[in-house]
Amino acid sequence: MKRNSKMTSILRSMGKHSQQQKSSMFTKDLQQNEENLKQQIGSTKDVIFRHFHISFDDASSLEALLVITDGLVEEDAIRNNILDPLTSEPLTASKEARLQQVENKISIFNTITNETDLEKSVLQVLKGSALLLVDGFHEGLLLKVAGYELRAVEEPETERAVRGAHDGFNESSSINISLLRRRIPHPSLQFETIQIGEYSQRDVTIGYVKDIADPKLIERVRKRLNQINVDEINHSGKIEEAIEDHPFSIFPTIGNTERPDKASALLMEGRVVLIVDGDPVSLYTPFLFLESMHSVEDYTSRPYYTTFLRGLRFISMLVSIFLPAIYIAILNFHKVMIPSDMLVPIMEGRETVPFPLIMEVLLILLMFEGVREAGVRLPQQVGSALSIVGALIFGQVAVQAGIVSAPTTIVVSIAYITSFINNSVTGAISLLRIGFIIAASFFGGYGLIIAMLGLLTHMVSLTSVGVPYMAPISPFYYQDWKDSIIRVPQRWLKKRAKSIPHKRSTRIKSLPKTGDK
Amino acid sequence: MFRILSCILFLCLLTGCWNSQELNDSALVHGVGLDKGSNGKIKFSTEIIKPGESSGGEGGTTGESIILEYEADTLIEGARESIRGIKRRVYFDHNRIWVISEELAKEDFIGYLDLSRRDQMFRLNSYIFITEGDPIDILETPTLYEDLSSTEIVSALDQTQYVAGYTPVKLYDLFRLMEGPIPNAYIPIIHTKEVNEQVITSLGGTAVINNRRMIGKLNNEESVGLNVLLDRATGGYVDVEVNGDKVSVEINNSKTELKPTLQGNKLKAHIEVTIDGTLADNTSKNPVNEQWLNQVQEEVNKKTKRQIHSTLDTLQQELKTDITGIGMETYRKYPEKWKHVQDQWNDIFTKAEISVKVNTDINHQGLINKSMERHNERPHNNPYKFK
Repeated sequence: MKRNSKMTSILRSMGKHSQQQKSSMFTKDLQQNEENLKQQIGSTKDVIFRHFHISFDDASSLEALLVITDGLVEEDAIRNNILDPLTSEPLTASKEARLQQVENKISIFNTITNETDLEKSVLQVLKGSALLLVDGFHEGLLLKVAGYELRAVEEPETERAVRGAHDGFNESSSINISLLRRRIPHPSLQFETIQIGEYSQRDVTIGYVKDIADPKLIERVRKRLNQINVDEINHSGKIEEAIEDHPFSIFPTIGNTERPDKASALLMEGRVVLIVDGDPVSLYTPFLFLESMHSVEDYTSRPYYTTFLRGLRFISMLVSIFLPAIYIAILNFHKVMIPSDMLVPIMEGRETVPFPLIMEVLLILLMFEGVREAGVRLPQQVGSALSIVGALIFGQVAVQAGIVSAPTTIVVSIAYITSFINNSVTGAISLLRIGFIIAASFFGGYGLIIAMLGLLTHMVSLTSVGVPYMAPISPFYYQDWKDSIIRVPQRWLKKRAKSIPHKRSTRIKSLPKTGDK
Repeated sequence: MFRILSCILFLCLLTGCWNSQELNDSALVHGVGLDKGSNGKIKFSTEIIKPGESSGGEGGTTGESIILEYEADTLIEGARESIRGIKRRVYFDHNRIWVISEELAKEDFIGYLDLSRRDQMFRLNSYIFITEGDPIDILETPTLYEDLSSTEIVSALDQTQYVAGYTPVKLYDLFRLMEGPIPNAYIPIIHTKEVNEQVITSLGGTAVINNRRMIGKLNNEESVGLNVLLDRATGGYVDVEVNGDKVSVEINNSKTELKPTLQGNKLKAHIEVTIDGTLADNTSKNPVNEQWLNQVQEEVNKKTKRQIHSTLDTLQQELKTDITGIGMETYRKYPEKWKHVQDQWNDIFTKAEISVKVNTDINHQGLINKSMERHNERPHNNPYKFK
């Protein structure tokens, strides 16, 4: 395999003093093997070489070496499953079958792989396996005894739901996979794992439901992941940026979630989920723009309320992006559009402000962004101080001092608050807002419309791993509008969304008749 | 690519902010007054919002207005000249009212309003008035609720549905009338009056425009009649006397049909008014019954008829001008014949025989049947309820 040669090269670079090809295989001499291993691994402190003797009933004994990485293996397992069975009583075996006997003795407790390649063994040791070498045999036994501290399965803080499952992904991809498997115990749910990163060797798992997901989509994701050739992948964000179609866009075209219930629902829609080991955030694709207005609880509450909430999110997104820009355009260019009754308060507010309107708006906006950014990083104890500065000094004193005007503060605050309603695109909204403010301050309503056309042109050109980002708006899929800005009752959502490529379109075969007695 | 993008970016910066004008460098005009000046000039007065001190968080804004006056030959000259005094660029975007002095209105004043249509800055949905005195007095009237007297006048006009005597005319209404088949128009008259030592503005009467100039006016009563004729009296009330007692009827709905018949140069017109009303006020002791209501209806009919006739009389005999809508109706009915009578229409209208018929229907008598009367009332704790 291609990947093998890559690993070889890593190891070659790891062991600077190694004697080239000679050391890549285990020899029969345990001393020699240990030396070779130490050359490969270097003098790192966390790899432990433990010598012991395996005695046989003919009073002879064999020297054995156990290589483990400290902290990555379960000490109990080593003691009870390896050392204890081998050393507590002599083994019975002929000289030829001794390794076989050793293997048999401990295979009850462990998953064993025979490995002759020294370099591969080293990698496995560093990932948490134990390597058992017995003198006189040119094969090493790799035992799966990995065990390290993990966070429990908790509810993710960012995606809380009142009604719904309260478990969340954690840092271990095997636990994450098991969480998904528990929800879809069907052979069609497939997981493929590949290692990414020459140094980090990160497990990235592609999950999909074979009967539903589009094979072309899976192949595309697989191909892109295989093409990643980097030193290190440490979190899902790097994978996201590596495989997305438009790395230069301000819109995210790959979704992410920490909720296994959401991930399993996504899988059932025909999407591909990527689980990155060491990161509780799993990625999924295709991700559509309208999904940023959806929430996990949309499907557990009544459809009417969901529709209302989605409308609210949609409007708040528009308000958040356009309100300050429209405010500037109207005040500076189209004064006729100011409602007559609001004219006097607005003029009074503006009269004492020493800055041009654009400066005033940007000043407040940047201060808000600053307060938010500071609040995210601050420990909770200091947080209250921040809110005093933010709310009191900013909200009141600045207006009273006439540095900013009350109407402008209100407009920017509304835009700012509404940007948090659509959590997943808050960043894009913030940038767009500033962009539109600048466009409006230069060219008024005309600039606003030109910028909006530019934005829409960009948005319809986006794809998420080959799937149109703006579907079902563009391309227009009428049937998918049932679950976009509105949500109709589940009963009417018999087919899978056309926006997401899939092989199996019927999702509800039949339901009980309504009102049947 | 990068080069092109950066070029576009810098080009944006080069433009400056085209047409951008900060709000605190502009003066927004809310009302315009036009008066006759010396040497054939016009006096151009403006009411401008004067932003007060920033009110902070405490609320309670006290809006004031600046009123300035200039003499100029044309409106645009006045607008531009006034910048000298106002010291800011003047915007007429928010101009809500035009007040024209009677003196100016009696000349060919429509010409001065040309700018209001030619320039995109003006609002054609602003209201136009004629005042007997100085327009400045109207603009300077202290306000009751709003910040500016112009705003207050406009908000008063929104309430016209409760008073039949108002005939609000917007600028585009005026132009539409003047460019219609009969170049006559009507403009409400506004004046100031003193109530409880407070000067307030009040609408009353209607100015009649014939051939681009004001030739006379209708008083309050006649304005009501005009409103009914124009089918614009959607509300209001009529008070009549029935057997010496005063009774008021609130008009819920009123519909006027004009049926002109043109024979040669002779015009006959029949006007039919249908009024739906509610009994609003009954000062008499009469119990409300069908017979009595019929009497009331009869009185309302008579009174409305009288009002319409007095309006028509003034228009026909005194002013010799048709602003009633009969002309319009005739034009619609006889588009071919109209060409021959158009020039002499005011004559034809003056000599027209006009009959009026009013049908009042009081279909609701309010919440009580009887008016308060001591001996009619039973005690509240009457133990013999069925007696």
